[in-house]
Amino acid sequence: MGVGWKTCSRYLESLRELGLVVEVKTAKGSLYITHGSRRAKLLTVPRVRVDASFELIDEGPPPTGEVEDLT
Amino acid sequence: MKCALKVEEEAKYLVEFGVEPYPILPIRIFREELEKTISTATLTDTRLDGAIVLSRSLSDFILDRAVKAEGFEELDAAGIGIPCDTCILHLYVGGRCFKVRARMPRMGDLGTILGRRVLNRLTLCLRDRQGRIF
Repeated sequence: MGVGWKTCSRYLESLRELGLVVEVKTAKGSLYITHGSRRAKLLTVPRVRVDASFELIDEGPPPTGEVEDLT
Repeated sequence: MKCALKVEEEAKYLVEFGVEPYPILPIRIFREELEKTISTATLTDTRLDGAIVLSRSLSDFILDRAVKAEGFEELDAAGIGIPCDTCILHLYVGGRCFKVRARMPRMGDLGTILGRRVLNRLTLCLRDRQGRIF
């Protein structure tokens, strides 16, 4: 990508300042690890793809008031 | 110990050569702008901590014909970020209706996957090869 080590280092430092990574200092240098990510995690990428097809049906939604909000 | 639960609805396993069968659930998706209801199946994946990831075809349909993306998030798939558009949908599964944030990957196709945010609200049993329910 044509990005030098210094740029990379500055980028990691900026991520550390934002709290997105944690710096772990070792005898040979620094390691940066992510922590506290609030992204949804999909720990495996499934090989089977369900469901590529779908159909449109005329059935309407259930009556309001019975919906549980998970957003 | 005898289970007091009664099986309300029995879904099937998806069988594909070389892959351990996957439990799948029938779902319905509602959104006012869609006018009709989407009926499809979803893979149940207890390793996804979100609500639902939509397949490529379903995402394209929803974004092209009915709904504009309402947000953007990265889905962390085993350390690899998958950029996703998001939108709010009503999801009907297991006789219950949920308002969820659906993730629609901008690249690739993961299929339709139902995650723990919804699965944890349902009581699911798995049937083994001998037909016993757990």
